[in-house]
Amino acid sequence: MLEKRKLALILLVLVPGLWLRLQVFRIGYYTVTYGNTATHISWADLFLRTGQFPLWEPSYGGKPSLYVPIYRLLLTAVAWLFQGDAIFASNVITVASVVSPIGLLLVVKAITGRFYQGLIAVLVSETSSQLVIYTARPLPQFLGMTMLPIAVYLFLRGRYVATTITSLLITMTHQETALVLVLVLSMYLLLIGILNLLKKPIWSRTNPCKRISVPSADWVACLAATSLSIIFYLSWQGLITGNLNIFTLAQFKFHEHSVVQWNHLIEIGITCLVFGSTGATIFYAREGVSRNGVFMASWLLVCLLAIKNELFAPIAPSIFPIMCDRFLAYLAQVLSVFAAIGIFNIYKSLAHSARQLATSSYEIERSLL
Amino acid sequence: MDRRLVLSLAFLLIVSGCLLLDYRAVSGSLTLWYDPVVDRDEVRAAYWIKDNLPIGRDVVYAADLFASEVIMSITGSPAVIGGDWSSLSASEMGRFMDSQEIFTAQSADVAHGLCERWGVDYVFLSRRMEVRSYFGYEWVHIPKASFDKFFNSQHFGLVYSSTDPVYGVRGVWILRVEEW
Repeated sequence: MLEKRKLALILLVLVPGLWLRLQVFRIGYYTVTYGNTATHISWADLFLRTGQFPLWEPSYGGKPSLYVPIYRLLLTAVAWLFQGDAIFASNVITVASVVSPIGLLLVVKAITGRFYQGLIAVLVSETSSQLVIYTARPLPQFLGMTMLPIAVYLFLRGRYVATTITSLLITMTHQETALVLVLVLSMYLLLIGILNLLKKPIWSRTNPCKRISVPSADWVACLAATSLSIIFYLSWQGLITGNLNIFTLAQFKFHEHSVVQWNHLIEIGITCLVFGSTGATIFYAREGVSRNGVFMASWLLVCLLAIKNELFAPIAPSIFPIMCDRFLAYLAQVLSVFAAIGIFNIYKSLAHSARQLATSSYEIERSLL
Repeated sequence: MDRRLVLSLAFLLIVSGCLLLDYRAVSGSLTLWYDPVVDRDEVRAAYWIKDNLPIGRDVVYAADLFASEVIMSITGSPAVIGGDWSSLSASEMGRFMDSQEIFTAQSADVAHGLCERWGVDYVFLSRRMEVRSYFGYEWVHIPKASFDKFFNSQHFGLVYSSTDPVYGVRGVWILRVEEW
């Protein structure tokens, strides 16, 4: 059980995020926030009114709905709790999305073993514009991005079945987030494969003298989670549209994207960016080539490549560029983890040196007396 | 005080400063994303639709993206545009430009033809759209002449009006697309 003190601290670091989300009630007459949110409300409303799973979309003239269903089912369940008021339920979800960064706390705890560093990650993530605007609105992306770090945590802890189940849940919640997870797991396989080929040793974190081999369960879990996610999604798309080719969708066809320039990076947040890069440097200087280190590198690398995916356009012009700026939020997640490590370690080394110096001055004074 | 202690305190201050700066930026950007764009009259009109007009999958509305969202969420009836466009097939992308054209065209004939093309039963018109409407590409200004065509033609029949005669700057009209 979580200690009361830790729970209180978690609640405390969630307060800034809660304050931001309460803005949703600022507009009293209608609080469905901006675009793309109401279509889920009408779907939930339709489900509650008819009692049948709607296969058509109230937007775009009532065409078949390609949205994967888990977020909508959650909204429907919350609306049912509030006497069928799906608009109010959507606002309740907006406020409840404050728990979104909890997965980051778990990831930090898994890789450093320190709960308090995890709290810093939560705080940092709440100050990243790019991350907050996608996790503080009643959209499938909020739920997907809440589950993504949880999937990472489960994998790092070696809970492979749970990782696979979470990746399937993400696939049925938000396609873009599922894509990020599948790419991270694939990148991890690739990096581990390269390290194996180079016969580079991977060191145990708990015992730096012990050379470990990556558990074969890692390979199996990565392959299972990625292949099942792809099969699940394609089955859904095939069921709804009768077409398995994702590249025929308008998003690919018209290359929805906005190229990420250097100045866009500031939208991730100064804290996230500065201490995230510092933290990554500190982490790899200490960790070396470890299993967790390779996994975190995969996460970071995928996000960096994703925000600059227009660079792959010469290789695959029919796919790239695609949604470059939309991946900034995912980069902010992984940078929040590294920022927590950076802030904690810099402070610790400064405070430690100060304490050490104070102790030695005290000893010198005593010896002089 | 010890120099290193001062350094560690200074570091904490720097971190807190960065966090505060970022938090202010987040608050600012989130305000934009929490903007419903539509005004009170539009929401009232959507509830009026729910109570007074036929609703369901077969009753389609033409509106800008934000009014479409209000109509969808309150009435459950579909709109020509609205929601995530990513699942649209490439052949359906004409919805965006045609929706815009329904409102910006000065000819009632053109607007009516486009309504028929997309199976529109009602047009949802708001004063707000004159200065700030959005059809999927950019914010659009609808000229007054384009607005007036809906009222000076037998192509469209007025079924709802919320115009405030005192102020005359806000208001919503719902027009039935007549069989022609």
